[in-house]
Amino acid sequence: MLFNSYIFILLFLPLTLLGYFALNKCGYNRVALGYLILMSLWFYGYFNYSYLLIIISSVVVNFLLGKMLHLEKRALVRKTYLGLGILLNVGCLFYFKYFDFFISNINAFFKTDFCLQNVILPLGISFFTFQQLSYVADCYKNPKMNYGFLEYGAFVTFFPQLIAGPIVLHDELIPQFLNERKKAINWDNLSCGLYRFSIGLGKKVLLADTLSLFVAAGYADVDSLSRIDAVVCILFYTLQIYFDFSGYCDMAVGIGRMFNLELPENFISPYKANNIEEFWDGWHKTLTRFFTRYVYIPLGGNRRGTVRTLINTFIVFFISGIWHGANWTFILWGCIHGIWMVIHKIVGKYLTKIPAIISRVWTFVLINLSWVYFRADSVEDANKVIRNLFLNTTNWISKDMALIVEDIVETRVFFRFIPESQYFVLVLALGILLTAMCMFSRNSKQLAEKFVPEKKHIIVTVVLMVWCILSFAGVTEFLYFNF
Amino acid sequence: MKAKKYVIRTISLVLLLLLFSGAMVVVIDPFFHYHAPLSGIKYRMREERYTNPGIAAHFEYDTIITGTSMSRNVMPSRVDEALRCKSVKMPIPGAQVGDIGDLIKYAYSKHESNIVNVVVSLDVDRLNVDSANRNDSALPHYLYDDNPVNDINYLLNKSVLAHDVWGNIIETIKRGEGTSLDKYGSYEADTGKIEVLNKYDRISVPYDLNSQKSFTDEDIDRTEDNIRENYISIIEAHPETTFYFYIPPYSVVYWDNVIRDGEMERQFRAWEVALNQLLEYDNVKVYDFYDRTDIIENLDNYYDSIHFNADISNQIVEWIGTDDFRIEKDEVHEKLLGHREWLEQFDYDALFEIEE
Repeated sequence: MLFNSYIFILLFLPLTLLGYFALNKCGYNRVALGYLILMSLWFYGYFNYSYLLIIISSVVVNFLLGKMLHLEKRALVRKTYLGLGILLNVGCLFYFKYFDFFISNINAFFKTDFCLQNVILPLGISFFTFQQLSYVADCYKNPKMNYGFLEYGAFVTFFPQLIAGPIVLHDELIPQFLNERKKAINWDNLSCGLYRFSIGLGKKVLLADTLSLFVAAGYADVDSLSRIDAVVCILFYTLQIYFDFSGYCDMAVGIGRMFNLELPENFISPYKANNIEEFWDGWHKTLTRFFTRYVYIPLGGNRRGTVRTLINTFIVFFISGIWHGANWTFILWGCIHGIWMVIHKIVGKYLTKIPAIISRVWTFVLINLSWVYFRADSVEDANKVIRNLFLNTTNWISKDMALIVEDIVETRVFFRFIPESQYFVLVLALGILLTAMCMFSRNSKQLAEKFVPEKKHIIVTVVLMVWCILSFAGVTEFLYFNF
Repeated sequence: MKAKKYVIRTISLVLLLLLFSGAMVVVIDPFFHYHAPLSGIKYRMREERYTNPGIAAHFEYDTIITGTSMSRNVMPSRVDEALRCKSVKMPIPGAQVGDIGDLIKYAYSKHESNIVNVVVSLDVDRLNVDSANRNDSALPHYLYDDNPVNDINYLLNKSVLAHDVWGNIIETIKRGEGTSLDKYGSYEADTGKIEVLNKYDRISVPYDLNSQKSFTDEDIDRTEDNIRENYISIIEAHPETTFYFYIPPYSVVYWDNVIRDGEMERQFRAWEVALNQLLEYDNVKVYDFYDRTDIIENLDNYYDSIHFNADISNQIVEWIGTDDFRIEKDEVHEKLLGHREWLEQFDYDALFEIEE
């Protein structure tokens, strides 16, 4: 189920909130937790119920491994359990996410003809696998850890964070499930959660989905991009991925808040970064945290000398690239960031005198370029976009790109007076406005911190909610040449 | 303000506004999903795939005009005169035979009174296609099914609200004319050789006329299945209805492409198979205008290689009314042979030489 759907907002969320708090109020705390798990499974299996088998077995196996690690005292056996946990989780992730990619590369490299399995990637497997890997690793480190199955199940399946993060750790969420004071409805949390949810929804539905119209069209035909088209494509994707992903996380944090549960922040103004390190301090923070804690530090972190620190840093980004998807584009993107981070660690200290605005813009430009490799369907396509950006001599926006303005209902309603020949002004305005928003304005966390239940915030919440809900469906125009 | 009050007010306002939006859609009902057009409102009709099911369910008619984009310029008012009926037009641009069959079946399931005539364009390039093939990626299924829950996609839809509900209100206030059924779905553009050839990519490495691709047994089965499942099933179920199939006359530029693509044999044979199947039935009439070579070789009649102007559409309706150019079962083979001969001897290169 998607957060941005009628069924989620008008049925699922109210039903889950009401049921959860009603059961808790009647004293059925365990039942409430079970209810939350059941609702989360409905949320997860909404598009494909066969996925439920995967997540349920993953939860059961990891829970049992945790239990065995708790009960077992012998070091070697415990190590074996840990190894088994890593093997099972990583193996499962590898099979579902990378098997076909692996086989197709073997075929390409060795000219073999192994059959592809056409494995369908279960929703959110990368997230819940990492979440549970961290659980098994922590059980190994701390033999005293011992959760009940309901708490553990609720922690992994808790629907707001289930399919796209943030990657919540067990010690952040399970104690909250057990906290008696969090089981009653809290109107302050509910009001702030609603506000945060509506901001996230707006970022996703009104901004990211609008930007994606341009991005999808551009990346579908990279050969015919003019220089300005390439700029639009690159910049709009940089904005799209931020509004999309951070909007999703805002919604997750907002829903968590409605349940009196605090989820970790995943995005804190990443495009305000003055260097790559600051960018990663604000971008997908829970993933960075996971890699730091479970890859970087076990590799030795920064305790084994400068060279080893730099290698460890690169390894983390390389693995991060692989984690993001089964395509060479993601691996290359990870490598670009790894190398950039390594360079920053070497020369960064000499660049501190550069004015903040210059380093902020410079960092933003480089991040833009790196996203090309993240978004393009292939490395070849990404190279074409970059080539068009620097070498294409057509400097104007193409008609096809400008005409996308017409697909946006709002522009047809509010900017009807703008003639077709001036559409580029709207594209330009959209780009500048949203870039400025990312680089200079307050982020949703800060907005939520300033939240007080007052009229102004009612208006913002209501307008965003209604506008977004009305945007879930559209009227698809049938394009058949001109006829 | 207390947080509880805030939450209650916010949720109430959201629900109230959504309810209001939904109510506006139900009342104005721009796609006629719930009721026939209101007499006081001027409707600007657009997007056929959204509007057709409403027309089928809630308009008054005894005759359906449908088909691919070739039917978009047909005027119901002229069909009414020609066949002395009350017709509605429901064109489906880019449709496959299956899409058209589905819509006709939908009309039968929704329309309470008798359907006397069905007028359908029979496009020769859509015959040899799998019967299950549909061009329905843009089809709003929620407007075609009986599930009231998924109507939410129609009721809470900013595009419907902004373009259609609001657009219709403005049209009414401005005392506009709205869209008549004659104008609904119709198109106009510049015609002529330059226009047509500008939109045409001539295949540079062509098939030779004498070594065209062959029409296999598989092709026969596919064509027969397509016609049987999507048209014959309806024709047999409704002996009370007369089905008028007309073959839209595509221009010589279209046939240049067919020959260069090696598809001549396959298209003509599929055409013959389909006509033989349809003409088995007494309640079927088929019209074929390829004898009028003056139409197909004159590119002034065309917007592109296949789409002809409104005058030709009007002419076709007139001929159907007077029963001219009707083709009988026993003359199918000979007629098509004649068309093919003419199209094969046509000097296509001359079209392009003059252009250069």
